[in-house]
Amino acid sequence: MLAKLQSLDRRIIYLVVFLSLAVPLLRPIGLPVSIAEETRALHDFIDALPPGTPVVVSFDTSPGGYGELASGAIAILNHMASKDLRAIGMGFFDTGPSLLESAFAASLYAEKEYGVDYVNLGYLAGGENAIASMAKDLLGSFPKDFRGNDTKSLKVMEGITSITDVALVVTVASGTPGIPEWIRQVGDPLKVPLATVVVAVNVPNMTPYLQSGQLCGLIPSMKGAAGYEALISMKGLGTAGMDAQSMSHLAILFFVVLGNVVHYIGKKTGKAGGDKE
Amino acid sequence: MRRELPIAITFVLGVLIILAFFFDSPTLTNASQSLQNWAVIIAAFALGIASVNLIQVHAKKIARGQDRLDWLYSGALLLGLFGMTVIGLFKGPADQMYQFWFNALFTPGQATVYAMTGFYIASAAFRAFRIRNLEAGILLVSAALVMLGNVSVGEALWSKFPVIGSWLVNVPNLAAQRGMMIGAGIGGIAGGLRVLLGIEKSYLGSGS
Repeated sequence: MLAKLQSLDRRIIYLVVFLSLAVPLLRPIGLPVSIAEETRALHDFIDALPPGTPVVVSFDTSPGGYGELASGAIAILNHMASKDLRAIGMGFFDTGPSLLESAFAASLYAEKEYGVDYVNLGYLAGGENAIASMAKDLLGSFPKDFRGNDTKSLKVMEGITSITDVALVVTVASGTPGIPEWIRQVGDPLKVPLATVVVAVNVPNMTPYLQSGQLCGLIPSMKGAAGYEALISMKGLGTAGMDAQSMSHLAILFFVVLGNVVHYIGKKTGKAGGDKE
Repeated sequence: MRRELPIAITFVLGVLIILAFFFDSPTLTNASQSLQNWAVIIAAFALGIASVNLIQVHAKKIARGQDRLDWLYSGALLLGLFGMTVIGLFKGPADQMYQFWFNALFTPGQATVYAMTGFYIASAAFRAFRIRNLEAGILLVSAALVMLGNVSVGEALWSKFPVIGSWLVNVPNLAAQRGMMIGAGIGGIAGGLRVLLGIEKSYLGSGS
């Protein structure tokens, strides 16, 4: 038995993880969802904005990270659309604007008018330099939008000449450029409030910015998205995915404990099988 | 002169960008804005150069036709590259066909590769995450508490898991993160000064 466990086939581990994800998705358990303080702060910030206020939503992510961020991004867009806020979309990852198009289509903005209520300004190459350039000259950096329209002529851009004309920047981020670059080029020097939707692995990196007030809110991965969906009373991908995420975490913890028990017993009985990959 | 001139240009332009950051002068702002616009244009050209490099590497692989199925993968890559470029150039990236291929092929492909790490993490956690000493024990217990604090099932099992998980992230983690960020910031300033003063010259390429 010990020998079998010591050389446990990795395909069994994969199968258990797969089932822990698939079963709750097909048959939701309905576990309770708690709302993080920083998620509530972002919700309250957006909720307090008057209709017509412009908010920048920057998609600084690739499809790899977006799977984890989509629920949070769509929840924010839904909230913004329900409050009649103007959404100014852009991206500093080459894949960002295409993902933003999908997010707009999946949110309540799909029922609104493009160019009047929301816009996708497209991609600007150059990473942090591009953010700095955009911060100094928003319209000059994006003369045409993602769909080839003249940016200045769009109604949604009325009264916006600089990034300081927007009430909030929300960056949906999973890498570089991401929040540190936005803080350095926009948040700190221009005093524009920043918030972010981040992948779970980046949440600990964001805590210093939250505590210092450089971020006014944060949606930590799918858990944050589920909390945000609860706040706006619109269940979506976040709520649906939380059970699966819970069960997969439990499965990984189970394997960590099992691995240590097997290792400990093997050491005690002198049958340490070594760590096979 | 081949070394001195680039160092002098770097010094002058670097100082200009720093001054524009700290002083509210229209002249400095305009100058730094122009420089940053150049950087954006250079970055866009770099993408083009990267594409040329990609084509060269994979065209060679196809021409050689060896390494079993490598030529097929290279062919698929080039087909995707040319196909998306042609659609993007003639119809624009917002076109339905461009978006269809992006959403139906590229997005699920990349998301799948990323999602597969979850399975490898589970396997690696079983085989490698061992309590061999006190530090490893503290790491494992902390990781388990943060994981349980981050998911609904943790809260359902014990209401204190989220509290403990939050404390671990907001107190010990924050202290360590701050230390690392301040260290990295000072390192960045030192690195920047080395470049400005011409001490660090690796950006000039080999032979300098």
